[in-house]
Amino acid sequence: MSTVGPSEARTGIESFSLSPENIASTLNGGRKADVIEQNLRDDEQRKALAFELLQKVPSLQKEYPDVVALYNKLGQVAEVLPKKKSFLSKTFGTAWEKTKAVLGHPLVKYPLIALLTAWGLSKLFAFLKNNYADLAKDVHDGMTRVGGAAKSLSPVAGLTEKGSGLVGGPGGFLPRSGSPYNAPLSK
Amino acid sequence: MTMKAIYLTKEEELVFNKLPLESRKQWKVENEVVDYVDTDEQRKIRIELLSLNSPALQSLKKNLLVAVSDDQIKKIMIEADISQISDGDLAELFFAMGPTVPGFIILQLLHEVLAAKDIEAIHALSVIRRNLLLSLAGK
Repeated sequence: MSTVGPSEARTGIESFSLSPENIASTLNGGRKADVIEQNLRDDEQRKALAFELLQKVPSLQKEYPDVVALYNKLGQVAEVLPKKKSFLSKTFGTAWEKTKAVLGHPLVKYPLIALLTAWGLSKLFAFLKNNYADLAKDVHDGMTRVGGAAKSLSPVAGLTEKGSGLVGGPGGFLPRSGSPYNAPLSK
Repeated sequence: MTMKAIYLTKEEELVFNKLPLESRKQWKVENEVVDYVDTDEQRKIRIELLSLNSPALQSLKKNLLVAVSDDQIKKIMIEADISQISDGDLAELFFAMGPTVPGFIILQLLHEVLAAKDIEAIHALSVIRRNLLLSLAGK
């Protein structure tokens, strides 16, 4: 690999097995997770070679911007996938049975659903609608949304009263100054 | 009596220590010290890898994908019943959202504890958060 030149690199990249449709689907929409994961599994050696060639011959990067973008995307995904597997393994392997039992607890269930609904899911689906620019919201903005949804969803007395946790106020839900959770969610 | 570990931040521990001794006597606080700062970029990738299977969420997703305004989305979300969410989807959602959300819930619950058994719930969430932090920090 150390002596590879533009010609060999071009040949290597052109042997890259992903179709333009597949790359477009990976980068722009569709069932992103499935496609990305499949891409990671398929022809790993060939892709690794193509990407390595691409790195070694920077001039080709302008010729193959979609491959570069895919390379970057796959790099990010490759970093996160093991973390996801680790979390699912840790959680299902150790704490999940206990967690399942307590998730039905009204103190957990309704605030949790309120949070998932108002803050989490709205962000997730906003993202799925390719409208994820507003993901860069900070904690306080998220909490404002939570307050409204919690009022609608939570039957647990006291949780959503004025001044209580979910709606902020003294002794409430909003993190205090200096809390690690007080940092903005965005970079 | 065997003491069980509950993983709390310093701020959460302050609240925990104000609970009646009877409620907390079986718990040993271990400080949550895993250093991980979540970012939009990381969250974006996690959301891309989100895989939901619950019919309720699939239906919700379908409705949301055809919604045309923020008000519509808000209405759909507020009226949605996601109480039947599956374990797998819940775990997926926890991973997609990252450690901040369970952190909020833990702090909230600490202020709302009425009985010793409520701490079981906080403990479970603290374990989920710990697993998230450890996994995301690559530990």
